[in-house]
Amino acid sequence: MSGTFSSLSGALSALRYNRVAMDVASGNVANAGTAGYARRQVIGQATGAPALPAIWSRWQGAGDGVEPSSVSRMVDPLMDARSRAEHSASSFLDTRSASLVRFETAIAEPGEGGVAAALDNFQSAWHDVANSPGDSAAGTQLLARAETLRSTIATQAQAVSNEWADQRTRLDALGSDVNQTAAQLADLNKGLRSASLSGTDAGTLLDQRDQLTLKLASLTGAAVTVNADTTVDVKVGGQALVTGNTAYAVTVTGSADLAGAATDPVEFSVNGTAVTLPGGEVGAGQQLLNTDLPGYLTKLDSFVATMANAVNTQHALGVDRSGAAGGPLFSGTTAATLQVAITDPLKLAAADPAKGGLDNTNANALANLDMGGTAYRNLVTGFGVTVSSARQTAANQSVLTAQVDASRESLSGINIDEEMVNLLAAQRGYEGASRVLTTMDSMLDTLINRTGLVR
Amino acid sequence: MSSARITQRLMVERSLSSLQLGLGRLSTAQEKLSTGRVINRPSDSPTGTNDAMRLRADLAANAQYSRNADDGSSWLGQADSTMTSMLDSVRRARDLMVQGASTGSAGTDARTALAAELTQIRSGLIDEANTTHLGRPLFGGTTVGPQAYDASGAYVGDTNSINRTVGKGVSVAVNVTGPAAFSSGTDDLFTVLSDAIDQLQNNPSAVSGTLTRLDAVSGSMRNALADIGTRANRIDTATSALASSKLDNTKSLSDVENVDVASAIVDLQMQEVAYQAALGATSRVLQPTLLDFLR
Repeated sequence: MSGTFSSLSGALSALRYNRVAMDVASGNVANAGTAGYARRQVIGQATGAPALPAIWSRWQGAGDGVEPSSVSRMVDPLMDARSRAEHSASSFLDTRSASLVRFETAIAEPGEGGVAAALDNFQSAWHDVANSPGDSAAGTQLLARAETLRSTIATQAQAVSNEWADQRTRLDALGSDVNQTAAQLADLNKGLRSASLSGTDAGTLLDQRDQLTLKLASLTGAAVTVNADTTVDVKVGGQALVTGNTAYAVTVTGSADLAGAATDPVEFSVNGTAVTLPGGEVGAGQQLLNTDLPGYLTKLDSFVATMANAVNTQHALGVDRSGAAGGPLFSGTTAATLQVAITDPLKLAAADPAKGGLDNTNANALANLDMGGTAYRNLVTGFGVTVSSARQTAANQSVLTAQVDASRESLSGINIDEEMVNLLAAQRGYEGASRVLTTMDSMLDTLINRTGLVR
Repeated sequence: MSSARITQRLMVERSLSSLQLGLGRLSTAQEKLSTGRVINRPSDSPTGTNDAMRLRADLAANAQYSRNADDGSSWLGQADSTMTSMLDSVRRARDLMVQGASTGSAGTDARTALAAELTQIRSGLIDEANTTHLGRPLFGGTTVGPQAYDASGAYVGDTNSINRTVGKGVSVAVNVTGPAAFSSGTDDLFTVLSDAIDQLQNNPSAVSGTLTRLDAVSGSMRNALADIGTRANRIDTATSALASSKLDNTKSLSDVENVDVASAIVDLQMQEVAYQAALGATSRVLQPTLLDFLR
């Protein structure tokens, strides 16, 4: 049994509801290009009997109208977590592969300008010395090629150091980025908590929250826990970075150059505890700074030490034209410190001490000496494998990340066509409710103004 | 399922990423074609890089071996021509000695004239034995000095051999030392000739005995010449082996490192078509929305 005017209030509720639906649609259209905006959807609910009617009473209403029960944000927390994980892996692999690819071009292999070619030329110069022992032109050529070999090796060592220094500077920048983001998130947590207490619509804050956590995951591979009051806690490498409205400081310490890294290792600390991160850009930076780049340099140094030692040992077995035993041709045992120690081409020990004179036995021995070219080739090939697999995994991961992003977008993204349809539906609904009002109006007009009148 | 839901932004991003992918492939194909190489950095093909570096080292060593062989050939060639010309002189000296032995009774003047000519021949031979190659005495071993024999015909060089590496582990001696070519001690070419000069003047009857010694020396010279020929032959063989190995290595290097132009061009064309198709699809797909049709 409904009252005379209840249909009017039903129509009014429909007008209100459709206004809300139009607001939501227009909000969606307006934010179609906004980064991090999740699509909103208005959920309508028919006004009906209360779940618990008043005592000794019964509900007799019918068609009591509609009300917007909630405006929901179309997100899937599971997908958000997945997206954070994939973005963390993706930024790790992308950062590492970009750095390795950049360094790789500095190796200049295979080609005419690399260490391998310089080593071949150096050995070839020993053949020339063997062909004309005691000839200062051949000796000068040999010393020049030894110098070329030294400088190509030094260039490579320098390239490793430069890349290392770049990554080190980058890690500092990443550290302050993490600090800033964590501080923003802690502030946001405060807002989220009060919004949750007062029951206000916190959609915009939630959009921001998801963006900040995604950024932190990309930076550090952070683990994110969403609490019941919609705030988030973030842990990095097992250490709390954000808890409630507190953000803990991240510090980057340690040597600023590769040479000092052995004694003063680079550390990334959260709240004073050093952590090693498995993902994110910071993780990639740590991997490059602690493993990839120093590892390459160690192998290069070992090749240089082998080469210099082999050459010096063989050279010492011979005598020069004046009969003096050969001194060390190279000094220094690392790529960065290698130097050519002989400057006088007549000091090259080409002869066997037993024969002397213009004998070329020792020069021939040096020309045919194994100077560790195989070790260098293995180094380059091994590095090539590392770079190629880094590139490949980065490419695979970016496909995977793109897929996850696509499924997220598919749920949360705005489709303008759909919003237009929603808008049209709301418009028609509004028009329909107006029609109900007109109908009611004319009905009441008949009832009030015409009933009982006799012409 | 929600995955069926497509939004404008999704399409924009997909378009962008596939355009990016297409452009990336296009740039790779273009790089290959413009550098002419499939391996531009180690990661392009680590195993190929290994092969390329090995082949490059082999090629460099081969080039050097060829230069060593050329150098060795010139040493041996010079020794060969010098010894051939010296053998002619020795033959002339033998004729004179035979003449001196048979005309033993023909009078002192004739023999003195023979001895004078023989003296000329002997000093000519010493000059030839001192022939230098690149400033070094050809028959002096590894001596630092400028001569192999002094003016009196005594050997002043050493007996060391000069070796050239003409292949991996292949070393060839490219010199003949004085004692090996012209004998040593009392049977030395120059001692034999000075004995003959002396005998022609003072003891003609002994010349025939010296003749036998000269024959022994010239025999050893011919042996040395034959030895030089054999070694020159070895170097020639090594040179031709080096040439064919250079050809093989160059071809292998090209197989490993260089681009197959025909397939690279086809690949470039294909990537270009794919890229243009992606561009076309993007331009058509991103335009319309329902708004275009609502009036």
